[in-house]
Amino acid sequence: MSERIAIVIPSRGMNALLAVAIDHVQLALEQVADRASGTIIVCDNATDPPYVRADLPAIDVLLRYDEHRSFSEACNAGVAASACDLVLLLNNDVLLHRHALGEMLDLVHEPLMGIVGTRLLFPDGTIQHCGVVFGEHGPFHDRARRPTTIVPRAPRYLQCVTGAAQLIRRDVWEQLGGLCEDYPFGYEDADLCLRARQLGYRVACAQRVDSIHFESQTPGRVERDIPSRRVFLERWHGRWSIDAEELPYGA
Amino acid sequence: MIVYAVPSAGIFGGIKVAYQFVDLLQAEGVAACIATPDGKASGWFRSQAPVVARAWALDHLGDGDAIMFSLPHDHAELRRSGLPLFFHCQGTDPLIDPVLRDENVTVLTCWQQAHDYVLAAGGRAPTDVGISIAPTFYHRGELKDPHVATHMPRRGREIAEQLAEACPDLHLVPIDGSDEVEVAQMMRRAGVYLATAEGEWFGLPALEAMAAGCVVFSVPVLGGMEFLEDGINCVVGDVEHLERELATLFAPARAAHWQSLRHAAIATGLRYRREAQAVKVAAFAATLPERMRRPLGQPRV
Repeated sequence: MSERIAIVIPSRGMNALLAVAIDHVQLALEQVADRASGTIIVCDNATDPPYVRADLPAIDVLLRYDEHRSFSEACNAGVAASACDLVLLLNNDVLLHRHALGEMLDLVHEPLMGIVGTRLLFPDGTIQHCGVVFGEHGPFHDRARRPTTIVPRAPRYLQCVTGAAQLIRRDVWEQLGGLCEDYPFGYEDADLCLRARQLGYRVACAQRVDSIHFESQTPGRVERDIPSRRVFLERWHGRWSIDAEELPYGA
Repeated sequence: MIVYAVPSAGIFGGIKVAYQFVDLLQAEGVAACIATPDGKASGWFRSQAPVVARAWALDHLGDGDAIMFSLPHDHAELRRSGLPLFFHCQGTDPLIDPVLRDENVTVLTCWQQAHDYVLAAGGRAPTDVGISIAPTFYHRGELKDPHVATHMPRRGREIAEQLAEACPDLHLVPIDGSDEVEVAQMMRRAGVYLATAEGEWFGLPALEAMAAGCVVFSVPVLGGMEFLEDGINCVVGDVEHLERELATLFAPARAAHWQSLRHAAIATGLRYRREAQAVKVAAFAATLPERMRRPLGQPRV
């Protein structure tokens, strides 16, 4: 039976990049057409001027906030607007490899699996995300800025994967109540993964192919990261297991 | 879901063993987590086990879920939950006897001596789920300083100091309060490990030191005698015996002997790889009802 995937893309500005990101989503959906169908939902998070529906012919739903809301609110609204079996949260600056979604679908059906991420690279070919690990002071991207060739291509099982490209079972999403809206922008993805694991779900990261993530392209993104980190640490500090095998590069 | 209740996040070997077990259960497709009194996680070893507060767990567990524990003191409180209980036996103090007699408790053991004790005191055969060494301990070719002897002073400090006097060229390096990675680094670079905790149940640190390529000098223990073989992969005996052996540590005529013990110790450590324990945990997991393997709140079929 074909599964329904809601691809939820919260977006603010970056019109041209968004259009290319959607093109990549379509390519990825074509590769899994025999087992899944997709609904593309864009949440226009107070872009000025607003996105025009006619400029985004491939999408199915365009939501609009006139005032800038949190990443969580935009994602939650997007998911609420869809009927689906799986949710793919996707940043507007992620260019999904055409085979990435297929591997994520394979993984999400493993026993206990709740959330699946995928390997993301910076445009220069170094790793942006191959899994999030936890040290004493908090989560960080494992092997960030290192060559993609140093990390094996087998799936990794982790405590957390980035929300930049995150496939979540809809029933798990509902059980967790979606993303926590206390986070201005950032760390809500880690919060979601840790909560899912507390219920016994697993989190994995697909590694077979490299997608591109420009990271933090949205205006105002970085400024919101600090208060988000504060919320995360108040809630979770001392409550995660430490799984970082070594110090982050550059530390 | 199986919730493993531990007493704290402190530096006690049994707590690390609990986290390792939860990690292996998860890998075998069994939903599992650690529960601590305050929901705080241990930070002195590497794990991915999710952690919740014990009170939260007891409030949320329901039909199909189960609780695991290893401290006999927890038995009475956890029994009141009415949920199936697993006792992960990590020691054979007679305090555990009432637990072994409780027919509502399934008993798991980690080593042979505990298996034999459970059989004798509880009158039933437990399930062997094994015990393993974290990968960080395995010797990976680091240069060793043969003059460095690591030891854990929390138990048997006096014995360690007495042994060091038998070999004046030995430099004692106490290990206490360090996290697992640091402990492993110290062991991988040390020539000797002194296991001085008399009456130790298993003595995982001595086994970790063997994996790290140390020559282990150990007082007799209980469960650990399954891996400690005097004159084969280590030196085991009373303090006088250990003193006599240590006095010859740097005798040229015995260099090959120590090297032989070191190599045999590493081979012994390899028998306790995490992958080996995973086979036992998989066999245990296969016996669990499907509803116990599911995440919290999932429909119970």
